[in-house]
Amino acid sequence: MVEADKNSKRLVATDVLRVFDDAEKGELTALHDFSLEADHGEIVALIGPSGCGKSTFLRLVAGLDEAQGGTIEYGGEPIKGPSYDRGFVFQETNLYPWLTVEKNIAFGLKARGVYKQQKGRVQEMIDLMGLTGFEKSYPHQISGGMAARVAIAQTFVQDPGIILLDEPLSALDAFTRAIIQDEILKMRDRFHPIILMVTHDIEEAVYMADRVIVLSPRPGTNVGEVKIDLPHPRDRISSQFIEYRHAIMDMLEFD
Amino acid sequence: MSQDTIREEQRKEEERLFIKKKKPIISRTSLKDALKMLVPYVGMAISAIEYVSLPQVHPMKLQYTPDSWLPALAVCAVVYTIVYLVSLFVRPVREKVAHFSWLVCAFFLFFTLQDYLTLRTGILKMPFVPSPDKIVHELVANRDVIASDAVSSMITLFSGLLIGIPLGIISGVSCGCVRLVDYWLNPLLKVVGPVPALIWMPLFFVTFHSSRVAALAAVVLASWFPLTLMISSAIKNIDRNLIERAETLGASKMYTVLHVMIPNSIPAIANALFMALSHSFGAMSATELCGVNSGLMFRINYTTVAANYGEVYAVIGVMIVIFATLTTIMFAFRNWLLRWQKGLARW
Repeated sequence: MVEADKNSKRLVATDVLRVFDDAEKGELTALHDFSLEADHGEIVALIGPSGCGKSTFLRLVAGLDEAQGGTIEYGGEPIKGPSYDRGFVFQETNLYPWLTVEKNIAFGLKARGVYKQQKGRVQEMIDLMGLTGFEKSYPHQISGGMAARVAIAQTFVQDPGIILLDEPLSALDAFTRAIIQDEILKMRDRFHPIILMVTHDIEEAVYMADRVIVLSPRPGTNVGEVKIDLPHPRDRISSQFIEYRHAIMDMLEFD
Repeated sequence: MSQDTIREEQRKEEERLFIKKKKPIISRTSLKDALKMLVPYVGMAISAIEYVSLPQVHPMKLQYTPDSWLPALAVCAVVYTIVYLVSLFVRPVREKVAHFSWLVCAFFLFFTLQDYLTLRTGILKMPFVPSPDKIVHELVANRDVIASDAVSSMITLFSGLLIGIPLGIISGVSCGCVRLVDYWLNPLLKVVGPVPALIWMPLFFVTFHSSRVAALAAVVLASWFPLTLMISSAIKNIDRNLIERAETLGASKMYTVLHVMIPNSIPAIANALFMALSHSFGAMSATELCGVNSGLMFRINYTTVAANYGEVYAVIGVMIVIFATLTTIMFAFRNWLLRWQKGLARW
């Protein structure tokens, strides 16, 4: 059912409010009147200073957390609780250490009882992400870059409608990061999900995203939006690329 | 270079770094190892020479003729020769044997020293410190009694563990996952757990009217406590991220318990099993000292009272062999369970 009308579903968030009740610091407003819309096949990057509620918003979309105000709807339905249809790639790529690479990727399929029907997808994912030869390795035997690939594959293999990337590449070296960015773009072309990505890296946002949404410091709210109108693969040192970087940089200067 | 070739290069590099090449099981030994593995024979030879050549100056009139040490050495030599021949070809065995060859040699030298200090010089007073010959003699002479006591102890131990371990795993997991169970069980655990299982013996005797059942209850209690405590705390302290990841991948609550929470607590289960085992050894031995009238600890107590110290040491030796073997098996099982874990501390 999800497969059939997947491409017509939209993600619409309106005036989202999330306040944390901290015992020491009192009430902490993480998000205030934050709105966002996204269509399938689109990559939307959220960028903003630390603590502006970017990750909080991803958690709300994933259903791991609840908003106090506003609405978040996917395909016209309000979001309630986590679902495989809204995949989350966490910042800490701690895979299940007792499972091999192959079994880590198959985890969600097995949990949902569809592994037998969709077995071929695991192998496809292993090939797409360049993990061939590591199927039987345990997470402690592979490098950070490989682990990040497995974490991404673990989510994409389920073909979710929305993929939430919470800085999964932030701990990697620039070289590996660039390769995995391309791999994610390849996966986007293959599966057409809505991809929301949180990042601190303006270059990463301009390189990957169709739209970049800039958030203010806490409480996070919309400051502006930049549509990146460049064909893929993007040239990181072209003058237009650098202009986009400047435009976003200007929006991020809040003083 | 295109990105694909770069990626291929990187993949090969990773493969080189992270995938260990497996060594063959059957392989020829090096001369160095073959010589090193001969060292235990030196220990045996020294022991035999000392035994045969030095005169016996023990002050007391001995009630037996020392006749057991040379046959014991002969048995050791035959067994070790078989091990030696096997290890010439089988690599994993060879690595172990070569590693322990100096220790095995020292083992024989230790008994040589003991023989010298007792039978040959009387520096250590017999019969309180018997000679190795006497220990072997008593072991052989009383083998039927010692064997039946060992069986009796093992029946208590294993039936206790067979009940205590599943019980501990079940209560540990449910304590960690179900808040209601935790509410009722946790205080009980905190009050009953830290107390040695032995203090409940009088209660068990009165309740069960049988010393064997009481001993069983003590072993069950001793193994149940560490398992429940360590498993429940491992489950409670699980990294939230692992659970949330399962939730966003579409796992149900039950699936998360079975496929995330329990595997994640396997290191704790393995450590708890080790503790359960050593606590049960203690509990079992203690029950045999106060009430149960069979078993290895009962035999030690009995022969001490009878002043047959040779047999006391023989039974102690049997206990050491049994407990060390069980612990080694347990650790092999643990290493197998935790084969996915990095840098595991080995036994």
